Amino acid sequence: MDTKQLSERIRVQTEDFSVEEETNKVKNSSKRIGGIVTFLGTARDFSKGRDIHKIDFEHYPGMAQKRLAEIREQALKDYDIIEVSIIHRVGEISIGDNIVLIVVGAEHRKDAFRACSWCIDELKRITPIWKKETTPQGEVWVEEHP
Amino acid sequence: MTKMFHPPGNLLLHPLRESIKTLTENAEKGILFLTFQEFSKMVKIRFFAVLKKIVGKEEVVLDVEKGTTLEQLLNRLERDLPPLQQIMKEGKVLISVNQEVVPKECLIQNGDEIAFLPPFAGG
Repeated sequence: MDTKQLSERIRVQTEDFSVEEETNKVKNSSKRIGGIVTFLGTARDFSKGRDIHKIDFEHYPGMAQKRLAEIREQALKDYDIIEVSIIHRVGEISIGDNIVLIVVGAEHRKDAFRACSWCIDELKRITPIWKKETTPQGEVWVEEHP
Repeated sequence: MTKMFHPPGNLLLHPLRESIKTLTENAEKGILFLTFQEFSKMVKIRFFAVLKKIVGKEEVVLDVEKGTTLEQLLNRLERDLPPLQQIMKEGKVLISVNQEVVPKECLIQNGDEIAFLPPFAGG
């Protein structure tokens, strides 16, 4: 896969994404794909007993993209899957808006489910992205990985 | 051994600029050539997310001596920036050099970008 194709599969961006468009891109990448699993993370309005008005995401440019590319590559090695796409938004996110999308295409569903679950866990573990929640009590930088 | 002298763009901020100027002049006379690295290294240090707020800075450019390890640099930073010392004690902050998380024994090279990374919370 060349750099342009990779930067299509792995993106950190401020703008929203279309789940349908991104799913179709993975689906159209191979006629062997028989199952697609997606994980869509969205901004909720309540966390740890606090109302949340908005969320801000910050990332380490370059390093975040590098980690996401490594996650994709590892998933393609470790699971019987065909394609993976990972997109994470940064900047200010309103409640209810999209945050992260992982799309995994495989011949069969089981590997797609397992790979998708591993990708989001790994993203939370190793990707330099940080979340700040704005609550009625003020701003809070989130540390945990629920 | 003859070495080329390549001062970086931010050399004017360097406290040894006068010495370097002299050496440059000598070098022009064919007396001596030295690399900038013979004296020191300029490194960029970045703070992200909550650390930016705690430390009160987003970025610092420092001049460090040749042979400095990441641990020595950290000790210096903790002295200069006391709030950093407090948060580093908690053991949750990772340090990267050129976007790779590295052990504290690693040697700092001229031009390295060092980043302090608080716990990640993407997704």
